[in-house]
Amino acid sequence: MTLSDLNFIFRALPLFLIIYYIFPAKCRPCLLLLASLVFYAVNDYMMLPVLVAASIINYFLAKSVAKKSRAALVAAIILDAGMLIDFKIAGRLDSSILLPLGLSFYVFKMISYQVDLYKGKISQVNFIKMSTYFTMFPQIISGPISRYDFVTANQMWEKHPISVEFVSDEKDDEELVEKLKSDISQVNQEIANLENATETSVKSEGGEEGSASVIQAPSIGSKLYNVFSHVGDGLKYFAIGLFMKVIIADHLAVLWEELKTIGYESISTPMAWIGAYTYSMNLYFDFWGYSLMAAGVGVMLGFPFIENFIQPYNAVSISDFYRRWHATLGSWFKDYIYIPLGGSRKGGFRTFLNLLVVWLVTGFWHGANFNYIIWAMVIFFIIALEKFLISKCQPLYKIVGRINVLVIIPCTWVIFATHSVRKIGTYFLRLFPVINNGIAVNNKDVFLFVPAYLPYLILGLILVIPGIQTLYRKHKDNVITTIILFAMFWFAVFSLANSAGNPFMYLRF
Amino acid sequence: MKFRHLLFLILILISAIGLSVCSFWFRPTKYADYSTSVVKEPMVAPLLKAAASGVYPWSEYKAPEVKEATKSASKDEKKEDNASEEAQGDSKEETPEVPRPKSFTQVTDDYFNDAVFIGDSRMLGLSMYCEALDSRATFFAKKSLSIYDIQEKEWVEMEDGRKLTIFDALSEVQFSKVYMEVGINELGRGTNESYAAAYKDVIDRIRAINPDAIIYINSIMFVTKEKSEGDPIYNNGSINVRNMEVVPLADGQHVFFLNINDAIDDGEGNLDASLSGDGVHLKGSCYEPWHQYLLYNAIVE
Repeated sequence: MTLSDLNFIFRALPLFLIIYYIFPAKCRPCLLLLASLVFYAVNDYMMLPVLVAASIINYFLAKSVAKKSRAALVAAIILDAGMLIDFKIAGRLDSSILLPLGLSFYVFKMISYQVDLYKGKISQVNFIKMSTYFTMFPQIISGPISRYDFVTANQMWEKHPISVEFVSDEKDDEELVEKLKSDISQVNQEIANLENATETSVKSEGGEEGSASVIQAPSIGSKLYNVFSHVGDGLKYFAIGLFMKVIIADHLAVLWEELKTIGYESISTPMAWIGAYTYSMNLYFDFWGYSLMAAGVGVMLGFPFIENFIQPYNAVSISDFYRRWHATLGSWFKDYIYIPLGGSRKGGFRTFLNLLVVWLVTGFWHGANFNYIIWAMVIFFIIALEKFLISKCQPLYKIVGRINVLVIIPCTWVIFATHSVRKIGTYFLRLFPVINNGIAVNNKDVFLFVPAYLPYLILGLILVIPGIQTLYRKHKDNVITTIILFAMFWFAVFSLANSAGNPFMYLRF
Repeated sequence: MKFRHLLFLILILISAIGLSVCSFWFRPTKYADYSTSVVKEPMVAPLLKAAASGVYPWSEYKAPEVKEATKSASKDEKKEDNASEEAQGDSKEETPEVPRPKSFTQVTDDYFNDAVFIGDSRMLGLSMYCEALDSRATFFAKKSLSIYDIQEKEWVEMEDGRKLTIFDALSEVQFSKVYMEVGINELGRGTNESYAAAYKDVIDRIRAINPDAIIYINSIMFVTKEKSEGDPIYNNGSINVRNMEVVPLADGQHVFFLNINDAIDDGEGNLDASLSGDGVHLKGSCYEPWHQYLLYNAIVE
């Protein structure tokens, strides 16, 4: 059961939300932990003991780390990273050994927890909150890789949540000012209510009982509004993410699959380029969509919104692209590998080496296949080129940086997607036909294959435009926006019901 | 409190409850064919699946005719059986002359000048990646095409934009050979008998248009070993069973069965993995064995 499963959307999630909000705030971390373990067991019960054991061991080590024990910190990092490396290598050597679900994600959370604890960013070790952070079901399968402060920022775990409106994704200063004004006016209103209530209680013959009922009545309404507001906001993100994943990504995945069916040696050069952009959009909307769904569920539960994809194709260079693409992973690498190694503070050569280490780890983290290492090394090479050479000439950097993002990045995704080095070579010779390696190429293949997928490609291109996100944020409570989101949600659900959650159901023969 | 802020949640809740109730209400009747286990899918799913097939809550529901029709059908079948037994008895007495089956011979590509190819995505692939055939023959091929679609639907898109049944389309072209290749999409749908019956019906209707046409039934092409072993529906066991069902349709005079798997087999009864990118289709560069097989297995009057 994933987040895009109909049983999750129409059964598990509503049921859990009802239980979650019926219980008092102090029970909610426990409820989320329990639900997360059940969710994990439904998806991968065989590997649940690995997750549980890792959480318990990390808890005991964390107690020592909290007392600034460097040895405990090192032990925790070796244990967590070792578990990840072991499973990845074992899975590579023996295909019957499966990687535990979400291992790459929860191991990174465990390491960040221990390091933040050692640095004093986390004040106390709480087993329930810590375990909930490691296992929480919206993030366990594909992230985002939040930090522990994400958990402690949950407003719905507080007995008296302060904010009614949820705006944590809004970066616009004006909107923040508006929010603050709204909060202030709200607090003022509550003070006024309290004063009125006190007056009423004084006048009331019922004494204390009468006054208490008058004070609590508006606060229950406010609490309910707060809950529905969170659920409604989260549902909007969820609907957008579901649409991106089910309608755009899943359909484009089928076009990418068509290229494999033809065989790379038989695709025309225009088809090879369309294929590269198709896979780029497939990956983007699949991952961004899933991240939005995960963030949306998080918002429904009272967590802040996590922005994992910050308009990456609007980046000015490849370095910038990877600050915006899977931002929580990028910032993890920066905070826990690049900066501890010295970052860019120890001279050019060390910076070069530190970048190399970060990108080698990035490649390995994605998988123990050779293509991921090639992909990471190509990215590293271009970033190094941008940082040490092209950036010296700013006008050139501005142009080359954009070309890198819009042309080189789609080509690198082809490496990412293709597990055979020989096939990567074949594909690149179709992209750049310096040698004619084509066999039985149909030069009209673009017109034969692409028209059926044109609506999804166009939708994808529209959603890549940075202005669309800004427009949404400005008008997200607008009635027209609401109706569009409503249509998107049901369109995605309709598609899901008819594909049984398997995108390749569309791929009839 | 802003009502508009909660509008989306309210709309989703009302629509989800409304559609689920509607789906539940019609579940025993018009959504019966679209329902699986209540445990497997939420209540709203049958309604959405039915809508994809053009069955809406307001669509008219026709209860299936059950007993009377079945009884009369079984009586007819008995009568037919008796009649065929009598006919067989007569034939034993008369022993009419059985024509000798025609044998295959080698031809050149010009043989396909008056040929029509009908089929699913595999046939579509042949048209896209076999220039010798595509430049000579007429292709009526469509992704996901099944024998049932050929029987019933207007799926042929003509150059002037009209949509026709294959029979109407064939009436508009000159042809003396028909090559058919369907069957993979039908796996998991219908029964072996209904598949063979539909195939026979299509062949009879093509022969009604041109009684002298030679009709070639191309076997359902195998899938690769990896695909076959991992797929409960699209596997070579099921493909072999379905192929055997249509072999009797070949009369050796007008209808012929071509086991094209002979050309693409890996020696173990699977599609040779080196010829396929996805385990089901031939790669663009690998249609030549099929083409060669057709060249070496043709009927010349």
